[in-house]
Amino acid sequence: MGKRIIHKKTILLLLPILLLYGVFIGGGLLGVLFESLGYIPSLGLNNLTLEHYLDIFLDRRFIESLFFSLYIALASALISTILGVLIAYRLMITTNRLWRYMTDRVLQIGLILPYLYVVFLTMLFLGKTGFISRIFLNFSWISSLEDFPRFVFDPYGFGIILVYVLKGTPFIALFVLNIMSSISTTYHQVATTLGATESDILRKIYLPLAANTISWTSAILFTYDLGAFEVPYLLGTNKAVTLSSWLYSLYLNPHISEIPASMAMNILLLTIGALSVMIYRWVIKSILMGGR
Amino acid sequence: MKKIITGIIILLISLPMILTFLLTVFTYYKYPQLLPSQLTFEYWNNFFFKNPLMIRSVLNSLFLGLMNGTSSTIVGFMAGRALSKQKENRHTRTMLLYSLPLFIPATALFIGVHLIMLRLSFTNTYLGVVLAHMVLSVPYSTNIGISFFKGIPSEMEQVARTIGCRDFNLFKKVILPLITPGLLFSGSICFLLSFSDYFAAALIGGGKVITLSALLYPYINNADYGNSATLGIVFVSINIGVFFITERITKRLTKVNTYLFE
Repeated sequence: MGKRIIHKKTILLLLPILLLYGVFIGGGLLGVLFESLGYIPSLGLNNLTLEHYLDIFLDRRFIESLFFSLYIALASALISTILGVLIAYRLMITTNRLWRYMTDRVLQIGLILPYLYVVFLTMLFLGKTGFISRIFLNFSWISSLEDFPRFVFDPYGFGIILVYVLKGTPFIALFVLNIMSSISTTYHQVATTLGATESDILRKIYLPLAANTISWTSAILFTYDLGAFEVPYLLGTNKAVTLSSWLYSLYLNPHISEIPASMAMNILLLTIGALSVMIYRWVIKSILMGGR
Repeated sequence: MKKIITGIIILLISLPMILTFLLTVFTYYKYPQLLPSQLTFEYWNNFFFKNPLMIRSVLNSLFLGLMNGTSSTIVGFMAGRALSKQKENRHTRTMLLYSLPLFIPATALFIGVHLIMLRLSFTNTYLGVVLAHMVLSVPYSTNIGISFFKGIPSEMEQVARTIGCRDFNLFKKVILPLITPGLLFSGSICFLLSFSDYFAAALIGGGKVITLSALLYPYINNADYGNSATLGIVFVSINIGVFFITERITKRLTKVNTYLFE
């Protein structure tokens, strides 16, 4: 190893980002860690203990909530990734410029719509008394309100997953389109000459070459869907609660005695989140590379 | 045939917008009527004149978005300049480091940020909210920064130096014109991230810094269609307006190839 010279200029350029992350992420997590171990001097708690972690682990609701969160994140990230990649590939090989322009625009609008507005639209269209239910009744496809299935506020989180997929698909599609367009078209032409089908070309050329981007953007989506608070809170039920909305209501609890428990939950969400996202990305990447 | 399909698709996509708009000017929407009835201007009147919180929240959100767009872009492009000269093999490690906030579940992340903000007495202040939004946006601005700096051919800088260009002039005459579209693009993305965010602003702003999304949230939670739709229309119009205006300018100015999250 040669001597590593780091320029003074590089350090200066990196100082703001390091300060920002160091203070707010590093400092924040350190604070959370100490409070989760029961060390809160301002409240007169000075003993380090693991009992708050134990309490949470022994709570059956925690395991249920954890699995519900992982299920929501996995389902929505996977569906968004598959749809996003397919749309991006279709868009890239299409020769119809009007379609390309329109799909591009729709994806961009999907990307910048606020989550809250998409939640509102989901309630407006898919709720029990929503627009689609109204159409069904007006055409006599259902005889009463009760016949319309429960898509939002349902125990399986369909509404939540739908919002995440609507927001996640454009995110994946635009990033993947960006990277796929940078792949040389020579591969594509050679493969076509040799008689490869469109699906072969996607699987054997584009997916392995774009595997890095796809797996990272998909992992970002997975983390987001795991940790977001407002969507599951607005569209969920009392019976099936995600970890993030549970954590937040615990954090807002005015009882001081609940603080260490909420902090322990915070650390658990963080650790499990990090672990699962690592596994998730590795699996996605292996699939995309086709075992290479 | 193609025209018919295109028409149907346009209708399907614009239907949500049309229904939302109708809900802002009609008040009666009883099940199972398809479209709302009874014309009213109460909601818009409420937005513009009767409820001062509404306009205020829009101004607050615009201000926070502009501040976050500017500061995140500066921090991100500084980091991007330093990181764009990284060797290829350290690529993933670098990407992981500056994207760190994107790989931490948001609720867990911002509760930690909130603890620090309490210590620094930044809660309930604009500064606190902007800093929280920066944590959320800097990964994106850094990424855009890196991809724009990578797009500048190194020969260009060398030539400029050979003919005697010093640091400041090099930046002003060579680098700045090449990255201006990137700065604009990053600024608009960070603006949108801040403008659309609910959780961080609600937690750190603590009911004192009222943003548009913080105001919209309870209306949606109570299924108040009229007010949700009115605020929703304003929200989406600003979002789409900002994005497409900056996109248009950016496209005109762009001279280098850029690829995000490579």
